[in-house]
Amino acid sequence: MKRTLIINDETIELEIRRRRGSTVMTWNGEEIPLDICKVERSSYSVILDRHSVGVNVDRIRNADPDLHGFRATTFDGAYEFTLQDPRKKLLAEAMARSKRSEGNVIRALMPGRLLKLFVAPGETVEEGQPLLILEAMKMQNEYTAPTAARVAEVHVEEGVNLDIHAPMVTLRPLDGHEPQ
Amino acid sequence: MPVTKLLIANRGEIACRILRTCREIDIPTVAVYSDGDRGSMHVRLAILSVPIGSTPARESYLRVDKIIEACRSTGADAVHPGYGFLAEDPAAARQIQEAGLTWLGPSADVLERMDNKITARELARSVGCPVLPGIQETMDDEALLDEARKIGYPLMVKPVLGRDGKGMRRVKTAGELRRALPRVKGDAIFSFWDERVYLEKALIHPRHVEVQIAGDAHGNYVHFWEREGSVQRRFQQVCEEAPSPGVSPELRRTLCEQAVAIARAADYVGVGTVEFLLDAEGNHYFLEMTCRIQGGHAVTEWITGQDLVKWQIDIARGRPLPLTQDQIPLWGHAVQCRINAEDPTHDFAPSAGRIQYLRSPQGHNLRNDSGIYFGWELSPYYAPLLSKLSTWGQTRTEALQRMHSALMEYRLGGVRNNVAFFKALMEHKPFLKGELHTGMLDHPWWKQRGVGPSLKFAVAAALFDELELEERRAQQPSTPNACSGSPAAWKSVSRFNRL
Repeated sequence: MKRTLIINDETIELEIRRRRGSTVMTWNGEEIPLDICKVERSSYSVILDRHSVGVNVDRIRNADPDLHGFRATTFDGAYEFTLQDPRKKLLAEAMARSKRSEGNVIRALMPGRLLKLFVAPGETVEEGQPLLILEAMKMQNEYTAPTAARVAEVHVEEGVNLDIHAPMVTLRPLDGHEPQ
Repeated sequence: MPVTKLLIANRGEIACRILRTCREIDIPTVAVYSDGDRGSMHVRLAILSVPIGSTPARESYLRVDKIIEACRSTGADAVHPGYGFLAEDPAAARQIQEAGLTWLGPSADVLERMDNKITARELARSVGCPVLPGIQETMDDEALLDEARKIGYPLMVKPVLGRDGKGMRRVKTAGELRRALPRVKGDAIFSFWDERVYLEKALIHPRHVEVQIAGDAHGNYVHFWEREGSVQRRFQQVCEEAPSPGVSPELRRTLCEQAVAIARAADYVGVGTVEFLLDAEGNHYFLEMTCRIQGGHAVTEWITGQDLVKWQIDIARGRPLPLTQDQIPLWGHAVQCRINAEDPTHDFAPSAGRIQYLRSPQGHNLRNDSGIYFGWELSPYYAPLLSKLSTWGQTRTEALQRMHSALMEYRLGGVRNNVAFFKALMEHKPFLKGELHTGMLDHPWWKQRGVGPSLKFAVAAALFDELELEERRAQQPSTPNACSGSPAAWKSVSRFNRL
């Protein structure tokens, strides 16, 4: 399985494939053969180009629930970093985009099932107010209003399965934020 | 005085260390514990264990009445205070002795004399040991500021009844002194029930060197050479070594002789430490006397081959010292690092949590005095000391190299700790050259390093695996057990936070 890891500010496409006794890690497209073996709870032995490295992975509590704190300890010391959930990042970026642009239609960023709908047509919502929860890739993603707005139209109902980019809610921004 | 069953009025690694000696020489042991320490290592190592109250130390480890009661109920006839808590508290020593119990430390009278830093200074001066210029008379703040100008800044402001570096402050100007005085007094009242303070000239970049001594009830005294504890933060040592790389053989002789003279003048019976400051010109000044076993005693034990707790027990039993001065060798060099649960990148802020992973270093000429185990929960109520790692080598270089290698092996998960900091210290040029002074940690020259290019891949691979495992675990139908113990996966974390 391919994973996007956002370590501190660096975004890495990572994949580990195990085939016929050998393991290959793909790091942003570059193939790195390695051998990884879990030796104890949260403790790994990694052999990389014949270099044997022990890595301990340890969670640290983080004030922001969207950031996952980790500490990796190696012979060279402890290294702390935050890992951002790539889905959350995608969502945040899309929200920021829709805030900037005309986007008054809230669309599904990932295929999924509409779990909860909090708004009805005609209601006014404040900036940041939750609109709905879309379950996608086994994650519950909360969509919030990018600006203060009136709900013009609701295209979906609870329980339906949605394709990617499916329109869900149309908003009409208040306070003269009306798109030109 | 008999020591047939010993109660250890302490916790953590020092309690474990004392327990181990007692096991060796077949003395039955009694541990005491607060509510928060039920699962601690010292409770598990002792033969008998007695609860003495709730988690805050003032309601448990500092309650002399409960300690005496625990002795009564278990038949213990001796109390070892360790260091911190009741150690060096004359009132505690007096109550224990008046209850007919043996106190593993100097008598209450000696403690009173040495606990008061002004009488201790006088005593040192009386045997010809230099002390730093200071102001020890009680006077109002304005008069004190006038006098301070005469001595000159910087100055140390210290509580008269202080110990363990508590309440001490360094001031550089009259304004700082004015601001510091009420604070030092406040700290002194809080910790020692006494608001007297005194001023002492502060040296620029001094070395902290201390001589370990022992005296018996028959007037015999020996020293165990010196230790250097200049690597300090908040006036507390974090790394000690013996012998000191900054002490010449001549100075060593002077320091050791004066330390013994001070102990003799104080009628000191027990194991203790006479502390000195050295300035850049090689002058030495008496600082204070520590009347207990010290956190850094392991390095002295390494270079002399002695067990100082065994000496304490012998002395308390009224026996003469087991060795004479010329039977105490100085072999090689030893260094000790205090592994604390604290964050060196954030001003050494203490950390608490569960020990999620533990691999202690192993190997030749290495000692790890530890009070922790895998799965143990570190309480924020007590000092965050996890273990004291020490190594011995034939030379200083060998001891430091061994320490460096041991630190690379030491892995601790679940709490922030200073292992990486010590590794950086063992690579720090001035430290390697033996150029130590008490201010060497004032400005952080170490910092958290990023992970190297090839290590990055190893870290990422391990992380990848760990995440995969967490997700697999999270997808399994949760059982009540799995919920409480296992770390939350992304999914369950976000569910918890969102709904």
